[in-house]
Amino acid sequence: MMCLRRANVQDVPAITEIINRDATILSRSQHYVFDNLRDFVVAEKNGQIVGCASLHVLWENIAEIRALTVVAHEQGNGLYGELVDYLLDDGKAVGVRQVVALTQNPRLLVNLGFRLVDRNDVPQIVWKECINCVHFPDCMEKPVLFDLDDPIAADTGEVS
Amino acid sequence: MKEVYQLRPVTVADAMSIFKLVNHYASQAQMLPKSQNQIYQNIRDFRVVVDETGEIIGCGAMHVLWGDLGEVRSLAIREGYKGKGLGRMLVTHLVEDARGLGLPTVFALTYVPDFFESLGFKRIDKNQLPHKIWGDCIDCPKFPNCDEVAVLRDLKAEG
Repeated sequence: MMCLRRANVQDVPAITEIINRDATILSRSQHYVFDNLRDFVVAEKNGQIVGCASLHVLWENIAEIRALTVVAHEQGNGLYGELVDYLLDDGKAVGVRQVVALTQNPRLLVNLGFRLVDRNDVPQIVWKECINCVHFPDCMEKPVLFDLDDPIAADTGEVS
Repeated sequence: MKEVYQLRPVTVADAMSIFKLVNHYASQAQMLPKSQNQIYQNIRDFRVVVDETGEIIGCGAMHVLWGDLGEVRSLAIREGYKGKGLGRMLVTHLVEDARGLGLPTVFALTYVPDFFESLGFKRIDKNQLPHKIWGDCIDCPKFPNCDEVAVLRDLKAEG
């Protein structure tokens, strides 16, 4: 039985482990996960955390998807899409208009209704943590955006 | 007419009201200042109390520090609305929130320890707090000359 739910403190070691096992996303410390615990949603199957994702509010109009991952043996079952849908609903509830993600795998999010954008079209606030990243300035990630108040984008959110 | 106050989670649209409320007291050195950035980044920690017109008259936040410790932050009630039990309403809710997240203990650094003591918190020596809380303190304008009182509530012991 798969269930998506908000994370609690007991989930943090498992969340940190699956994030750091995924070489295609930025690694995160347990401290980061605790500090931003309310941003996180987890996918739980038979008592195991098999996926996670987080939506971090950056400013009044924009939030960022971070730490989106699904363990290898659960990939290909639409779990990424379910996690992203959960975060998009969450973004609406918290009142932001845009959701941004920086990703090495833009196709995954483009298939879920995001659009590839030029780095220069992404608000400055998104970049403020990049300077401390080990990959800066040789970033391998591409920015993608989802407009929550755009009905066309919202309609294609379900397409895979 | 009976006054009606409601406690609710926040959206980004509430950030500026929270910012003004917190920094009103911060300017009188009664609490720590918060930047707009700090409020947006931690917006999910906040709860607000609104009056019948929807206007924000109180706020408070519960921040997760580690798996065993949450912190009550930025608790403020607008001038003219104190003494109505709104601070109590907020802290009680924030403590329940901490319980829901799985936190066994919550603490606060405060200038009103008596208020927290009336809500089941106990005064403790600041040095009893785990070192990880100082990670945030180090950037405080008052560090290391903190004059706040540490109070802690053990949720585990309460069952």
